[in-house]
Amino acid sequence: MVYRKPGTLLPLEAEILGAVASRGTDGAHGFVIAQDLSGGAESSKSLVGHGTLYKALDRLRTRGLLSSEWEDSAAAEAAGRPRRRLYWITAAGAKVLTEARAASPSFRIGEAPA
Amino acid sequence: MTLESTPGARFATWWARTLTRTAESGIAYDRRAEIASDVHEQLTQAWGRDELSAGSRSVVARVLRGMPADLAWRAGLELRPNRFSWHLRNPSTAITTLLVAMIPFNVAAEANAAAEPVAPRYWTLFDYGGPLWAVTQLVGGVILLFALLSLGSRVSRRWIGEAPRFEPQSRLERARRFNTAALGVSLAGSAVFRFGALGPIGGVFWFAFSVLLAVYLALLVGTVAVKLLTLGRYLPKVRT
Repeated sequence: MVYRKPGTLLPLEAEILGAVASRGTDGAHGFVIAQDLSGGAESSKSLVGHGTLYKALDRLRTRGLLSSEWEDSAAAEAAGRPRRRLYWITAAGAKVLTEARAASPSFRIGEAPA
Repeated sequence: MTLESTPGARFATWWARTLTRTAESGIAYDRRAEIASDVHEQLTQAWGRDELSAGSRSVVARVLRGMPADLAWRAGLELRPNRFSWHLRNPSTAITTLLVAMIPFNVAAEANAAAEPVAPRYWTLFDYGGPLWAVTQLVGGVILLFALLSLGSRVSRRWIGEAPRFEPQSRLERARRFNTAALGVSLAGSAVFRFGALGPIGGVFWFAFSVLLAVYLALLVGTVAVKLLTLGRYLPKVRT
């Protein structure tokens, strides 16, 4: 179990919040977040592991920094794919992200904060 | 070959299913569905680039990289409310987990005892036998206590409450789960009642363990035979 001061973010969590925030009101699903963390679809960097990503998403959702919703089944079925679980950043999450960026100005998605 | 039939997708599906087998149904469903969606998106993108094999390998790598976090997440689920009631209602999972924790200490303690005539105590700086047996008997005691609580909870439903019953996928699985729990209790009993005047009780437990182990091996052979006989169901479906 990683020790952390209450209210602080792990580097991965800060990156995830940044990735979700960059998607705005469209929301982001797990694979898109994983791609953003690795630097985009064309990046050669390895994608984050499923367990690591979804555990972090679960933590952020439980802490109220992200909200999530399953997309409509009919829409997924029409597109011929499984339903996506979409995530949005909450007001609390946006505040925490702003504070994390202020603490580390060079922080960008795809890089861990210093 | 369909996306779902690639080795990566099948491995990811198998891992998600195994990981969430005895988890709360809602949480288990959400996790499996989320992984299925992620894998589908990744393989669809790889297929679009004509790199399905590489995409499949990448999925396997992601599953492997995430396994430690998966196991930590799964262990964390056991701290949720009402989880103890579920384990009392379905004791096999908890007993098997404790058994797996107990076995290394039990084997080490037995090996230490067997080596003693050859390597007398004064040759070693520290006598490992005592602590090893202490841990073995402690875990064994927990198993026996838990088994008693589970039996008692069937009489007084107050402890179980509304905890759902785990539904095995087949009669073979039900038999294996029951047998594994009984194995755990009998090995625990043989370890706890091992020394002194309680030795004969431990002997009875050890006899039961030997019989149950033979039954378990027979069930294992049966399970493998069933899987081999139904192998055709696991071949990849080819999309024409």
